[in-house]
Amino acid sequence: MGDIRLETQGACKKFFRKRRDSAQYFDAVAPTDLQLAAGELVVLKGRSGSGKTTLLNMMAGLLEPSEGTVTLDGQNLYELDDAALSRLRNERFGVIPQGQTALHSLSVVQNVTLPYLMYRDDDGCESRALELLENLGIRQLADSYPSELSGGESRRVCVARALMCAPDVLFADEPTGNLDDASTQVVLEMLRSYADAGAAVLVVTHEQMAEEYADHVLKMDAGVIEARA
Amino acid sequence: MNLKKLPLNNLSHNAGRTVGLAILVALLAFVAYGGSLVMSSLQNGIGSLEARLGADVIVAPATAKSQQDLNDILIDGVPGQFYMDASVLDEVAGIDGVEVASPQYYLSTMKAGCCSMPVQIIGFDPATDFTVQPWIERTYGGDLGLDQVVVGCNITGAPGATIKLYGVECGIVSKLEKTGTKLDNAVFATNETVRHLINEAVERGFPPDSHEDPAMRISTVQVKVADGYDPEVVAGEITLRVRGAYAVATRAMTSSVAESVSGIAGVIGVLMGVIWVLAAAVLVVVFSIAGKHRAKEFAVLRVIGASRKDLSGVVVKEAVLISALGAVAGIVAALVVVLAFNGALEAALGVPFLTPDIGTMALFAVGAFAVAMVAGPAASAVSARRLSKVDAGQVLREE
Repeated sequence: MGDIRLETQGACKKFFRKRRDSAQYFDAVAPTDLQLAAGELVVLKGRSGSGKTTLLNMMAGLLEPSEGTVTLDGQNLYELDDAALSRLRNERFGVIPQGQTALHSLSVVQNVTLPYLMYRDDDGCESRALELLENLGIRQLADSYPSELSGGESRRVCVARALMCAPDVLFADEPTGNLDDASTQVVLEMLRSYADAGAAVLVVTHEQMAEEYADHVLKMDAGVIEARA
Repeated sequence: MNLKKLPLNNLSHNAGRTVGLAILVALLAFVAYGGSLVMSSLQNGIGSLEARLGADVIVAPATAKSQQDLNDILIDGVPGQFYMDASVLDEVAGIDGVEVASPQYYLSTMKAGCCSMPVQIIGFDPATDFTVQPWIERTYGGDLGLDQVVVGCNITGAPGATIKLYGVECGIVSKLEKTGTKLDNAVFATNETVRHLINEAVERGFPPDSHEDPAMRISTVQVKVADGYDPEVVAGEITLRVRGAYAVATRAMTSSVAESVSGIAGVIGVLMGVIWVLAAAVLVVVFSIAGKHRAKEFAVLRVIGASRKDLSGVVVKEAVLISALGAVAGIVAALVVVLAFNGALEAALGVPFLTPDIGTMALFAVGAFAVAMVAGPAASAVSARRLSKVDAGQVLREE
């Protein structure tokens, strides 16, 4: 991982909302300037509906801002065509989405190796996947299917999947949801050590414990990053 | 596991959905292939009937019963016999426009050593015949001798075997190709053999119900019309000029059958169309519903780096695999049904039914396969387009 820098400049997101009497745009995320740097773990807090996930999705190349830019090492993500942006997402970003997002037709280890094998040859990546699962305490579930997992186990599969391609930037949306305290600690320690290894990490969470692992804690309310918490 | 292998993996892991969709495609292929085979068989049947009748005009006794019997024998396959004076042959031959006239002698037997069903024996004159011998020449090179017969394909007994007719062991020298007509149940012999059968039967004390000497009496005159003459006009002329005879152009004889075939083909065509529209609509809806349920799955693929093109590729590849599976199943099922129930279909439809040759059937199969292979992916196109444009962030937020 090099000295990467992901930043938003005036990035905002407006959604069209239809009401009974009228229709209007509302600002899910107000124009935002934010930087993520290599080696930093940033925690973004806020109430549900405050715009945290929308901001994360814009920064992860999944949702084009209504205005403003998102740049990675100076490259505006949304100037790339879909194929290039998709490849960039695969090679440089890791995303842990909310909820249970393991693919049900694949085994645990297949879920974890899939991102790697999308653009690369199978060069023994399964051993790395198994190592990740080992670190997350679910090595024994490698051949299980998502329908056989608990909510917490399934979340840890998604963490392993996000780390599989050794991304420069890691986005985690409620990564510790459904996890008990011990597992929450394991995941947060892993995210911390990943940042320490040189990655930029953005964690959207309600988890109080996450702040202990953060370099910066931001609070978001009504689409606006209010202040450094 | 990578994106190339993912579609097959998805299908095998969701067997219920896969089988359900494949059954719909199989229905499309079954209808396309089965319908094509049945329609082609009907067309072949009518063509075969015309070809097997051979003559442009058939002259029979003028009585209404004789006309009905002629129709029964040639079209409906009910054995029968009727006769007129042999002198009719010369009178017919003298009519303007008649190029060749050849007599035939019909003899029916209610029981034969070979068969559990009544058999129609058709005697012909080898010197003038132009309707039976061309068919015999296709399967048997020589001339028919005394007590030698050629049998229709539905008659039991292979070439080299014998068939007992009125107590006489007749050698089967050839078996005719299937025509899909009632003439598949007939036995063909020279008039000399027919006369011998009658004489033997009389000597043994069980003469045919109604028998006449083939030298003095005949059943029909088969007429080949000279070039430039209209068979229907010639038939009218014969009816007018030859006392006690009624001539009918075979085209007119088969026209009622052709009308039936046309009607049946029309009904089948409409049914095919209706089933196709319904099945295709259901396929589109099912693909669409399946697509909605899979929005999250595709959002995840987007998140980990799949492009919109990749997502479309997954959907289309799944549709292609399902279509291939369904198409093969539908084609095999249609082939089995049409071949296994060939006779039942013929009996149910009541018209000549001759399945096409292997080459044509293979061609139809390729066509049905191609149609199904277009229908499945086309039905998935809406779903593929929608899924490829899935807003990953929005879908995953909605969880």
